[in-house]
Amino acid sequence: MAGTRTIRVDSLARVEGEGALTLEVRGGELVDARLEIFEPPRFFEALLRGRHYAEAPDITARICGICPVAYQMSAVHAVEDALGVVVSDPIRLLRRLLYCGEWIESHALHVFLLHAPDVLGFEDAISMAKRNDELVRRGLRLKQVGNRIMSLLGGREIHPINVCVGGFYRVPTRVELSALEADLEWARDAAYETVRWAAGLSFPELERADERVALSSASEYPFNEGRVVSDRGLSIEPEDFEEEFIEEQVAHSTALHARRPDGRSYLVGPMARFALNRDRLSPAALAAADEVGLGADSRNPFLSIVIRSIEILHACDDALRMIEGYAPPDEPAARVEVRAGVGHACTEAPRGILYHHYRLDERGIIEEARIVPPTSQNQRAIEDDLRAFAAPRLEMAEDELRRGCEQTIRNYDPCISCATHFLDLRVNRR
Amino acid sequence: MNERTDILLIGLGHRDRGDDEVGLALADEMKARRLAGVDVTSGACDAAWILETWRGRAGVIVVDCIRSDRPVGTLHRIDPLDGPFVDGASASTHGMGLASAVELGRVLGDLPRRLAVVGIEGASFRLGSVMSPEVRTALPGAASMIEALIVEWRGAASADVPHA
Repeated sequence: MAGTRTIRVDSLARVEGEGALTLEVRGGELVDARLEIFEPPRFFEALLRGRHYAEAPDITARICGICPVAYQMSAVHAVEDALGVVVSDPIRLLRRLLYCGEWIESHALHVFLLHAPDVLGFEDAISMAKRNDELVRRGLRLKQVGNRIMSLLGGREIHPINVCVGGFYRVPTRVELSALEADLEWARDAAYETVRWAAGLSFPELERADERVALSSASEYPFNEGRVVSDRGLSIEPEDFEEEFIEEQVAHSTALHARRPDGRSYLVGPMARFALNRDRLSPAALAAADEVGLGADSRNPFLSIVIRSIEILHACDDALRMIEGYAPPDEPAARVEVRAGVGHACTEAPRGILYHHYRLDERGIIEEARIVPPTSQNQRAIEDDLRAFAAPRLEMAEDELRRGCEQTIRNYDPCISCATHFLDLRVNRR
Repeated sequence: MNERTDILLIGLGHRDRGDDEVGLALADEMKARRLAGVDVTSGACDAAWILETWRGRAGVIVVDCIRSDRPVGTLHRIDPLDGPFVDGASASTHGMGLASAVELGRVLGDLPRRLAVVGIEGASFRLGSVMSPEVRTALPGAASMIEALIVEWRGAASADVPHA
């Protein structure tokens, strides 16, 4: 094929925020693939400077409507790191349970209402519901199970208000938590069926070799704790995150691109989490992964729908286990002594590692804040996937290729609004 | 099920986001009026939550902020049962809101028998800001519109059933 050809999607559907996609083809060769992000930057970090540390969880929760718990969890852990706060086991457990709610809610939305229409060839969830209403009903009900956990522990489903540094403003009673069990038992069964259903779908062939990065702890599938590890031998504490992962501005995106110090892209999110922590899944989730033949070496990004389904099953199992063993803490929150300090934390948002870093003065006022969201980290990997997907498919009909590329982006469930947190502003004066 | 005691009013929106608060403010106002047989609830705009919240209800009034390039403070009454509510209902990960709930509910057979959206035209949605004066001024008119709608529905329900 001779000449220059540009394939463009001006406005990406079913992702959060404003983005576009451009492929440049010259002489039959793919020369460029760009995920262009033009969502206005939101300056979260500047918003936090000068505010009291206690405000960080509530301010950062407002960054995202679908993963506010991730922002709250990274915020409280980073502030607690700065202030030397240690929380009790019941608080630790309740935080993990709250995170399970967010994973169930976020993954159910993506699996059933955003990703499934792609795989099944429907325009959107509404078109899909006309042909497969059971699938949509299951997704909506699963999402509501996650919402209910968020409401009980967080005070409300979206932008929870019950999380504070040291713990919670109010903790649930055993009776209140037990009321979630029947829903979660249904959700666990529904998630298992979803794993089997998702694994039976047909996916385009695509093998990617990006470095996979996730939290990992010895005892559990990661939510709030663990070292930052990779499948290429990286193993660091969150305080060293900025040494190993560099954010930089590129011309075609208002969201910073993250890279490894040597320039390589890397991958965070369900694929990486699963690869690095598969053996720490709940027994039922691990058995489901075995049953459908999904190993830790799975490298096709289109399989992320299966992995999200496995993670829903894990989150339901984990939530039930925690509810069964729950003993309310003596105090809803640990005591906090204010001091100057620097703190760092990484937690596993549904879309991958979310890093927070705060510097506090002696009154507990935030002097410096740094937030690195997962979509910012995955932008290069998304562009690598686009190149790998499109290069051997340039002979495809343009509509089909365009649709395939959009699906390649949606594999990541990117949250562009979260990613556009900073824009380097330079003023040239002559 | 007696329709006279089965009307649910759902206020949608976010506080501290300028005019987006108006659905919640209107729900607060209607709750304070303690209208007999009318339940009031409010929440953020999430399709799954909306579908679950109105399930089994015969009559539902949703109050929300609306943008349609009309003057700020303009009152809208939309009857989604008459036809497609909004084009392009499911735009984003986080944006499966009222329009998606209506269209999904239509396909799934999960719409109330009577459904109306009462909206107030907004213009400012800045983080941390309060409602604009035009929107605040429109609140009493919107509340009257809702009361008139309830009277209308109850009249229709009375006409539907034989008198005892």
